[in-house]
Amino acid sequence: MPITPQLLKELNDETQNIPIAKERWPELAVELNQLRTAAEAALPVHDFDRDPGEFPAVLRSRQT
Amino acid sequence: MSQAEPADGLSNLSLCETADLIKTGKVSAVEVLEACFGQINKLEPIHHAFVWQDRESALNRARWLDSVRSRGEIVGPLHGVPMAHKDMYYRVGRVSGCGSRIRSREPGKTTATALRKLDNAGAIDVGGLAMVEFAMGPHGFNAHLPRSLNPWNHDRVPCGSSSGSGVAVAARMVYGSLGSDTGGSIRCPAAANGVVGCLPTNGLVSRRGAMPMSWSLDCVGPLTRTVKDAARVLKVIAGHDEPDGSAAAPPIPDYESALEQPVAGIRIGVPHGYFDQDLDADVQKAISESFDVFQQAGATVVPVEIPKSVSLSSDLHPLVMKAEGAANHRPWKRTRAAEYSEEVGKRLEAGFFISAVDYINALQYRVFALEDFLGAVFRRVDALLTPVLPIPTPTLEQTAYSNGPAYLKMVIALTRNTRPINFLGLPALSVTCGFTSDGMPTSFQLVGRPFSESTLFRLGHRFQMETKLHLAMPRALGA
Repeated sequence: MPITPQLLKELNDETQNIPIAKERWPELAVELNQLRTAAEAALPVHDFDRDPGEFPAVLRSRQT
Repeated sequence: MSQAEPADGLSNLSLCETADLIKTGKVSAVEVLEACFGQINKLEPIHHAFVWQDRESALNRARWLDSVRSRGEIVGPLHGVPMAHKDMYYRVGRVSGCGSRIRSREPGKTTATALRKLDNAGAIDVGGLAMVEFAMGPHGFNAHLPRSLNPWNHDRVPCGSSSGSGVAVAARMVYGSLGSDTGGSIRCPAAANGVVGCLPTNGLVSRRGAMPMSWSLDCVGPLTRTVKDAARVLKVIAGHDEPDGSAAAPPIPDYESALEQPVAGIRIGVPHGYFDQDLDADVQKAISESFDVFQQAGATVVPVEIPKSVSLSSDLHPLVMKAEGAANHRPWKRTRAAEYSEEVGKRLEAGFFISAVDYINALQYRVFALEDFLGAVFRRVDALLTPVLPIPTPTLEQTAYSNGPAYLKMVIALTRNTRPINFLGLPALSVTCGFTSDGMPTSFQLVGRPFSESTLFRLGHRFQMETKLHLAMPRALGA
């Protein structure tokens, strides 16, 4: 289900309380749906055992 | 555009040349600083690279450094070299405004590790340089500050967010500058202003005392006029820093001493996929000619398929950056929203609605993407060469916020090639490689394995020695 301007507004009212102009909600919904699409696209390679904290360790392990 | 007098002889020297002249007593730190002041006097009123200057402190320090030198002592490899930095590096008791209203009156409670290391190496801090508000934006515009102008063409953006750093170094006002790079904020202004920009491996340089924009993506690095200068500055600022938990602790090589080693045998990758898409013809030509230069110098040029994970890394970069940025700014966004510019205030908003699950999944994907990239690219080559900006440097009008969808498209295009490298945490060196038909400089970035800055410097230095493109002068300097 896509993120709607109304959903974002309700989320904001309940949790974030950030002053956001009325005309921004449709634009924000477009942006958030794009980011959600990217997040979903990463799921096929999701690894249950992957610790995000491994990132610097992987960098160091490939040190030249 | 008004044409200034050519840069003063001293100002036009490189950072290393200047430091070496001071070291050998051929010129004093005060003389060098006064040459920089002369250049600033001529060009700053038009270019607006500085947010503030502290000439008195700088002059006092230059006098002290000269007195030390007169006793036959040298403080370090940057003894007497005037520098100025993006106005987001804290110093105890001094205001670093971060390009914002919110931070415009708050004195620093700590001194940035990078500044402290530069101090210890003998550098002189001349002032704070213009930047995009809270480093959030790639084109260089800040509604709170006078517009920084690109010395190559005043109708073109200087890019950002380290806009003042690019302008001040290109205009020979200072010899080098610290920028910061979360998605391209060192490499893009370096490219737009025809100077060198170095994005170190994530964690190589301490971020302690630097304004946070996105803790997992931010990197501190130098902008200079030559690769050799960047190598010298990075050697000074790199290394472990106990209070910065994210700082890595590799041995820091002597980058400068490796610069003259031959490049024969180094394999440079020609990207097939992602980085070769949507390229302007002039940029494409400059990139092709760069490969020719390296081949003639003895390097091996190897085609390499770019893994699909790079495209998704590019799409996930803003998710991570915005989530982390929103977390930093939440209290101010609630209580001081009116103090943000319209553009940056809006840019922060999406981050408040990214789920923690999506954010953590993106961080997990980052590990996969890094391993994927290392396997696909660096099993075959030692460095990957891509354009920094896939398009010619945009005009001021093209990046106007009022431009609506065209503005958004432009902003995304500016960091297309740089942001995935931040996501992967890899080092990259931006070097001018030619000019587009409108006379603006354009650059490649050499991307390397983790902590392979030495190889990138070697390649970049050789390129500058072969082409001498780094000696080209911006139009505003009377070129």
